[in-house]
Amino acid sequence: MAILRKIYLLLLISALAMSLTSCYENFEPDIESVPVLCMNSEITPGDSINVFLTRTWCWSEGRDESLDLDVTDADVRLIVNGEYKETLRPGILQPSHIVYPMPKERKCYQSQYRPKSGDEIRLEASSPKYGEAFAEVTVPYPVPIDRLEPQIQSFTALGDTTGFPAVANRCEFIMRFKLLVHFTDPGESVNYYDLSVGPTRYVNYDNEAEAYLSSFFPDFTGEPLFTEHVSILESVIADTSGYTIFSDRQINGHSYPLRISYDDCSFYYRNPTNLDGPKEYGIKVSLRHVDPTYYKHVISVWEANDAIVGSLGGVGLAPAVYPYSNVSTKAGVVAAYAVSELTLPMVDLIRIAGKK
Amino acid sequence: MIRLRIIAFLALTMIAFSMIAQKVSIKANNLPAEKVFAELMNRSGKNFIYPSDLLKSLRVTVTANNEPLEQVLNKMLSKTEIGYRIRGNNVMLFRKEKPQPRKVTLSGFVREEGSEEAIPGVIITVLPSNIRTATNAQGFYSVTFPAGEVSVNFSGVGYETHKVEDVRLSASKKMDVTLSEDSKMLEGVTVIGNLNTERAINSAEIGSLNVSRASILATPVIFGESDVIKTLQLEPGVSAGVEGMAGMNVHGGGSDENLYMLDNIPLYQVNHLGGLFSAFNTEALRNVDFYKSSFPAKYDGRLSSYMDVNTKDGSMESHHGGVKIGLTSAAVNVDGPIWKGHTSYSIAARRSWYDVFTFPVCAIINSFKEDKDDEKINFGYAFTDINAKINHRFSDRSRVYAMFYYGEDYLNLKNSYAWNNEKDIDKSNLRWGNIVASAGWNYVLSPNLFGEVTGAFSRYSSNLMHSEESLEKEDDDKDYTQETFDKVSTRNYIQDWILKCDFDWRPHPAHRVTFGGGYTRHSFLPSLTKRTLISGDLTAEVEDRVDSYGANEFNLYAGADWTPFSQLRLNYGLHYSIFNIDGKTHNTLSPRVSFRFQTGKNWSIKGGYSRTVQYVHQLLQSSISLPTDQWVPIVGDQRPQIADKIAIGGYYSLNNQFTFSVEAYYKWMKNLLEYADEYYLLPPDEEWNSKLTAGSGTAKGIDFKISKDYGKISGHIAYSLLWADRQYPDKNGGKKFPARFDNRHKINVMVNWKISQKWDVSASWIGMSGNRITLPTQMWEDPSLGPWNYDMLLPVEENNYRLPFYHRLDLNFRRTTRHGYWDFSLYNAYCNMNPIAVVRDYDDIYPGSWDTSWDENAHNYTKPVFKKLKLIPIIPSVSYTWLF
Repeated sequence: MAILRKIYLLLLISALAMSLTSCYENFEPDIESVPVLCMNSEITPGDSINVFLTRTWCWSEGRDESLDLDVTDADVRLIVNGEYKETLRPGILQPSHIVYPMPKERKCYQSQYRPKSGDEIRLEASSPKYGEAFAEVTVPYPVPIDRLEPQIQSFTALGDTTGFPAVANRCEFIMRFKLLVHFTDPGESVNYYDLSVGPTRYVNYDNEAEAYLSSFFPDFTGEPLFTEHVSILESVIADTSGYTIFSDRQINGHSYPLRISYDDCSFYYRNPTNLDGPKEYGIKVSLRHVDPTYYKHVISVWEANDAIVGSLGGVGLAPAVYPYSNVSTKAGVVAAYAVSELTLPMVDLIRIAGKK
Repeated sequence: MIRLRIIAFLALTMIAFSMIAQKVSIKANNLPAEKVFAELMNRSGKNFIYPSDLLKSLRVTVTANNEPLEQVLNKMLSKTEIGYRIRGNNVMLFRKEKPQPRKVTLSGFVREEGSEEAIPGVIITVLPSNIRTATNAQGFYSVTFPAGEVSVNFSGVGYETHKVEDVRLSASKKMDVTLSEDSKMLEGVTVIGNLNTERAINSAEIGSLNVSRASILATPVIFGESDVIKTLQLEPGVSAGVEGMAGMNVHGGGSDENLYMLDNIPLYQVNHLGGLFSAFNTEALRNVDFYKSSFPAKYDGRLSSYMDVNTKDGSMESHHGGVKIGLTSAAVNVDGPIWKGHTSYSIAARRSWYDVFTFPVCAIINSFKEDKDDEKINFGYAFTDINAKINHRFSDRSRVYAMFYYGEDYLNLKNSYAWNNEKDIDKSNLRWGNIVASAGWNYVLSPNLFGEVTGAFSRYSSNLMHSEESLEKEDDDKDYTQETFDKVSTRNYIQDWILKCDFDWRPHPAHRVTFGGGYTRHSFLPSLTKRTLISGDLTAEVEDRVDSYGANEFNLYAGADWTPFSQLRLNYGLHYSIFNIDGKTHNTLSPRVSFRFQTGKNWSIKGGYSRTVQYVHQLLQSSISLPTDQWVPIVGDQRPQIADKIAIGGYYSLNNQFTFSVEAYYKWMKNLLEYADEYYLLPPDEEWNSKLTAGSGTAKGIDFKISKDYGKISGHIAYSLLWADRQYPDKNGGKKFPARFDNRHKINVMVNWKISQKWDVSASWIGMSGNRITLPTQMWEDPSLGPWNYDMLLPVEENNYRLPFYHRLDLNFRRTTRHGYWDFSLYNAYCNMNPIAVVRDYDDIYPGSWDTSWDENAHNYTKPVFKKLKLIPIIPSVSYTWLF
């Protein structure tokens, strides 16, 4: 027993000593760091092109409001299908919708030309101070959503239980259901997609609204295609949530239902007895048919920040993982996509739930 | 006419006869031979013809009184090496050829006294001819020399020299010898080196090393876990990779470019716990052969180095064993006879015991959860090694053995969380490891020919599973029912079936020939991922499969070690390999040649060239060992990876105590495979080979070493200088870049001091140029395409930054007791926390204020900075080994 006591004592001392964990030391690496042009743009058929031109900055410079990254003295040329179209004009882009935190207006370069699906777009930028940059992308065709198929798992109509005058005369529905988004991959070449869902109206307490969603948290984890880029180790230890980007690698040329789950989806409806009411209130599903650049960039951002190789790379135990860029300076993304949308009206959801 | 001819013939014959029969008188007493022959010429009238130097320094004594010339010559020359031949009036003198004595062969096995285990590397010296040879891995030796009276010395480091004096050998003989442990060791002398002094000066090999178990046990290491790979990391030219890990980068090479063998059978996964420990249990091994510059013809298949771990055979005489208890693991080993003198066994097992702590800790934490539905976590990790070996000796000439190794890492996670009437259960089960089984028969075919046939199976596999289950129940129900079930499992493996024959032929004392061949059937499953989703009535299964591969590999080799004269020793050979996969066949001829020129008794210089080829490689995503690192073959248009290496060296031994060596090398490699830039953009399993790019590389440098292998204080000082670079068309923009382990300078000091019979102290100090890392400094604006916003890094040149100079001192104190020994270790004794990486982070401008990490205005309170990450502080450890 005396030996055991000695062993326990030594184990304890050793464990305490090991509790001295890692430490950090600030320093500034002696590496030449030259800023270059960064070009970002999202191109969609039928919309004018907005190009955000900024410069790169050194990490230790910081990125606060005083740091002006916009490059405003550049020439930005648009070439479509090999033909010069125009030189983009400087402009200001207002935020398109209200989200939190509130986006600010942005300086950008805007085109007159509105691209079409199939256009091969080339953007060339030249700045006296930061040099040149160019990027090329092909605008995809939209891939339609065939249909939306809700599968109700539980449904509760609570009636007017809130007690708030503002929501008087409304009924609260709490529902758990799955939503299958059927679409058909066109096959041919490799296709990439990004799915997004949201309410047709953002949450507010508008007395006049016929309906609105109160609680709405789509769960994408049930769809294997959304995690096809995730290896098993990452399933165990990494954050895989939130990503809805996928390729047709496993469904090439086939119809496929994408699965979205809703737990405790809660919404209000003014007049539940009248299911012939307005159909614009509901769940809007958007299927973006994205170009490879878009897909690669999103995947690379996940790899660099959440995947094992990126996490290890962040502490020097693996090679550095960079976000994908199709710009010649390796800074920025010029991506293109075409959107198909379909809305599942709440009244349809209530009707199906009621039948169940 | 015919008559005339007959008459002439008879006349000449008679004249000749009369001359031969001529009688002379002469008397000389220790006079110079030239003078005596001059007088003899005068008296006999004969011409004496001989080389000018023949009679120099020869003096003769002769007394002849009217005796025939022939008789006089016999008297004069009988005790000399000079012969004569009389032709007419001429007498030709010449040096007689020495009669060649009959040659005999002495052969047998050298074994350890008591345990009867074979001892490899014992030097056998036959005197007076000074012919030397050494025992092979099975303890077999064979030496051929002229019959006669000889003395034979058997000397192995750590053993008393065994002398067989004045043996008269008139016929070949078999002689088995047992060596007893060096009594000086018992008196307090450490024998840490092995045959390396002998090897350095006398062999033709460059950069080879034999590491004994004693030297592995004497090397201080992290957590006190003795480790052969960490011992080799202290050699010049060998880099550790990441601090604390059991990786090995030889002369700037990759970690998958080393062939690790267990009793000559390849072992693919040599790491536990991400590389913190190696798969080689020190308690199970006997010694290790390591080659880093010139390679025996027998070995091929990797570009950088070859490490053959010889495991214990087990004692034929009595049972022995030991139990070791350390901070991180416990080990037990036992060996002994099954049938005394004929059959022995050896078993060693090691298991980590992190789970012994984590299971109760999790149970305690979970028990504090007030609500039974609160989140509960169970976590367990363990690694296990089992080595087992059985030997049976049929006769002095015939022996069979069977060896088994099983090593596994196991990680189990379970997390459950319940709320309302729902419950989520996440489970992960990860297992990865090796199984090696081999059986061999070795037979002494003749006194100078030894053969061995081996059949073996080696498999590394990784089986990983993760599942997420959602359950629910109604208020009235007791039991949950399954709502959704999502499971993903991945496995990969490499598997070899091996059959081979090796022969060791010693036809001549100056010539040793090894030859053999083998066949290996490789099977590869780079990755197979299955995803299953069950949701209500819906069951979806996706199989993400990569084709498995089968490959056939044939090898033939022949190598010779030849000493044409004492100063020169040559080692040369060829290794021919054929690798057939997917309908394609690659074949490579790997020549090996090295020489040793001994300029003095203690001096030698060496030079050599060798080519090595590698058909299988590991896809490594990081510097630590992950279970998803796959072993894959070359496929498609990929070509075998090839390295050519030239090396020269100089060696000096001072008083048989100190050995000085300097070795320079230049290595150039082609068809090297590496992940291309942006390889991670492809799905995890698909088209793994399309993620790779083939390129080239070079490595050059010099290794210096001064070692003292014997005495109370032993150890070495080593310095290595290295340049290593790589170039790939699809990496770093096609530009050449320095290799990650391009550690320009590396210094090692290793000292073992046996203070007394009870106390030993070991210290090792390492100082080296830091590893190279890729450090991006520029950021670019996030285009916000994904769900989250992150900092975007601008690519920079590969490995553009070198970490600061690394240095560390490790100490080990051993206290020997009656029944075992205590080891007290200090890793990083002066607590110099070396940077292993650089991270981008934020510093609080107002330290101590609230957490700003989620604040949209965080930049108002924080400033971005670069930080060196320093990982490992001083780590004390203790272990006790009980011997019985």
